[in-house]
Amino acid sequence: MPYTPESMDALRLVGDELADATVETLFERGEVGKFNTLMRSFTQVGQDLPEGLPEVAHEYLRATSAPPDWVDWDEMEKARLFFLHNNVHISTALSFASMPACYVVPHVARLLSATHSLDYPSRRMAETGQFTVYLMRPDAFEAGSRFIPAAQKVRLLHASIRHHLAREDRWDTARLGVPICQEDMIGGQMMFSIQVLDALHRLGIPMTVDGAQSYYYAWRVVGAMLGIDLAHAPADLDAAREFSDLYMTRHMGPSEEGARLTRQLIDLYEQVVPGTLLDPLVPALIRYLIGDTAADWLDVPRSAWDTAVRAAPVLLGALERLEDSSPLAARLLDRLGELTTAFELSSLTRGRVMQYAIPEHLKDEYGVKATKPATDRWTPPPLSLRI
Amino acid sequence: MTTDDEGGRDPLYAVAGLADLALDRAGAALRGLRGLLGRSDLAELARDGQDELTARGRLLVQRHAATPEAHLELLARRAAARTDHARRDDV
Repeated sequence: MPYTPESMDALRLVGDELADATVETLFERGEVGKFNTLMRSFTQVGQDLPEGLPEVAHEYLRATSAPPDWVDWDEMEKARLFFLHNNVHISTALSFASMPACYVVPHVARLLSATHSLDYPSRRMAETGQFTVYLMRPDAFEAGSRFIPAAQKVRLLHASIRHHLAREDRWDTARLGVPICQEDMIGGQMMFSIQVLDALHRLGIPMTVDGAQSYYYAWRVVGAMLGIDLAHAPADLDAAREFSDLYMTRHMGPSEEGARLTRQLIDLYEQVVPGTLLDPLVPALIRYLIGDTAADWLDVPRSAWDTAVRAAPVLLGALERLEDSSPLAARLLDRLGELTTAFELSSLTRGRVMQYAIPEHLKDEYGVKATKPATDRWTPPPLSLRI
Repeated sequence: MTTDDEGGRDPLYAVAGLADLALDRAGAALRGLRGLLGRSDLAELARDGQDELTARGRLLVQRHAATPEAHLELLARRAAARTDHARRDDV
């Protein structure tokens, strides 16, 4: 189904019926406080639902307690291995390409600024990072899973933002449509999926067709669980290119809020990177990944590092070669990847969440290894002709 | 990458070339460690260091020149052109 400005406009008017109805009822009955208190302890699949939970919440949690029945689990396992293999690079792309991509869409930046709890990117980043780590655990969809409750809560959080913004008259619905509408949710899905693959490509990370497709597939599953209507979500990477390009060119531009959020993101990472010598590396990496035009819109500072950071693909390429040539080096680099993710996340959450390790059960038990046959290397589809 | 001035690139390639070489040596050293007393590529690399660095530099120049533009940059230019166009139409 080709995407057009008109079809995208129609998506601006649609939210998430199930979650919206749940939140509306909770507010109407004054049960939001009770719900939040009771749900604080509900973090894992298989746990009994807290006693006294409002009936409407019960219904919502029942309806969303399982992944979609069409999920291809082999594909999900491939996605997990792709994530394991590219752990550090994906974290880098999420931090320095996906987050600025959110900020360069002015109404998204405005929404992130307007919602109190999302004001500081550290929390947003930690939530995104934590969410991804939960998703990529081998038991993500089984008893004990933390991913499904996290997805159920994020979906309600989005619905509550819609509820508040609409009622507090802080959102120009006539001009912008529904807050966190289907177009924006799918747009966000694109930032965390195909735009991450774009960033990996820009960093010179080799990807297989299989790996890229399965990574995208995992985000399609996540999108469905977060209330995206699959009838409109791009089915594959070619459709994703089309949607992503049209969405970005329709909306991207400068904004005060975007620049402020970017400044906060840079400050945050400068605090995370030890010492001050490497501080300019963060803005340089953002500029490299999103390009000068968007970086200027977001007031990303320029520095001498802007040139040096262009060696990143060469350096990362060298690391990849090293990894391929020596099993010992591969193990060391895998370990380094785990440590980097743990370090990034624990810095962002200031140590509040303790368990970030991504278990490698299948790798150990079955000797499965994410291999990268050179013959089917994936490169992102070119610029959409529809924009 | 097409808009960059050539003059600023040399130090970048030199650093990248050295780092590239250092990483390969690390790989050779790791392989050497695994074979304990087996033959190490390290010594060979050291002998041919000068030639190799030059060759690597040349390769890096080629590879670097092929680095694609950030996809978001292509989109931002489109979006900017569209805004400019709309502004001209308004005048």
